[in-house]
Amino acid sequence: MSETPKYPMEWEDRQRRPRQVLELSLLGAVATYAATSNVAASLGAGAIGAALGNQPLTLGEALRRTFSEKGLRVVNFYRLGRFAAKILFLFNGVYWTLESHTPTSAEATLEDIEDWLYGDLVKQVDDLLGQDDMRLRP
Amino acid sequence: MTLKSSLDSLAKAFADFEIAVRLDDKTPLKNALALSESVESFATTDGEPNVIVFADINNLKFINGKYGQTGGDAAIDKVGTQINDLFVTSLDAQAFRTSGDEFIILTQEERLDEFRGLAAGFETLEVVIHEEVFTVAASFGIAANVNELAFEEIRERAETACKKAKLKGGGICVEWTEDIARTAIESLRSNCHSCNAATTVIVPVERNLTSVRYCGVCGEAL
Repeated sequence: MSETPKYPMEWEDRQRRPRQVLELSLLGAVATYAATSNVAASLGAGAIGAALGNQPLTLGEALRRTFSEKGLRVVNFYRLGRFAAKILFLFNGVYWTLESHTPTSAEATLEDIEDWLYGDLVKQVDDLLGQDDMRLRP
Repeated sequence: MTLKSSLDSLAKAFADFEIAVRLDDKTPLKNALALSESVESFATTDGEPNVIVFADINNLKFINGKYGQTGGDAAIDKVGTQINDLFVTSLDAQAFRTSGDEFIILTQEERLDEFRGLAAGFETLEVVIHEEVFTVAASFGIAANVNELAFEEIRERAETACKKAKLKGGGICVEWTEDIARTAIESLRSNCHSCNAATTVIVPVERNLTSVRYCGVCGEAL
């Protein structure tokens, strides 16, 4: 089990993107064994599958899925350069946009940036849904 | 995890993928790939659609200019959602967003009266983004399958009729006729290489021009 990576120290913590749940390890091994009848190759393919299976969803896909689970339909997702993103979504007949910018950091990896933008947009929408706003009531 | 459950997961992932690649990314409608697959069954039997409706948003450039890309995307989604609710859900039609602000709806000739009635609702659709409210409208061009024309020819007729409908306003349906084809116009735009002026000319569709030939400001050939 790999350890969850840490954000740069000066960043507030945010939920990271979900990792893919496809059982690629076993599937890779089975498919390779079926194709080659080679046990070593199938074990190798299984290892590659396991590595692939632990990759996060793309930022846009992760947001679409998470928003959809909250009953919100994402209309479009916009990347505003490397460190920012915006999302347009529909809820109760009203369109909403949310925008997120990461704090600056020289140490942040691309994965950190995408994860943080995901977590921040999800936090913002949770805060919005928690507001006592008539337009957000079902 | 058993082999069977892994294979079931894989089968479900493929099935989800098959559906996802045929869905539009901005609206609840299907996309151009799904339309290309529907062409084969168009007007083949009694129960199949035999009319093409071309729908176009009337004021998208203005909306994009005033409210930005998110405003334009919200307008496209609003029209797509309304097409889905009124024509797909209520009228059993098939609907697709083929590009930008253009939509294709496949329906049956015997349901056209109902279609026209529902289309009137597209005269003004209210779009609300946060506190901001604006309206969007769409117009419709209709072409029926006659004389066993090819799908693409019928689609072009519907598009020509839609240009006429747009001139009349939102919620208007215009059915293709020979007369519509004779009098249809289109606007062509170009930027002059000499003076950089933007030139727009309105020409009859039957002239079949594909570009502006001379700059309207300096007269240079483009």
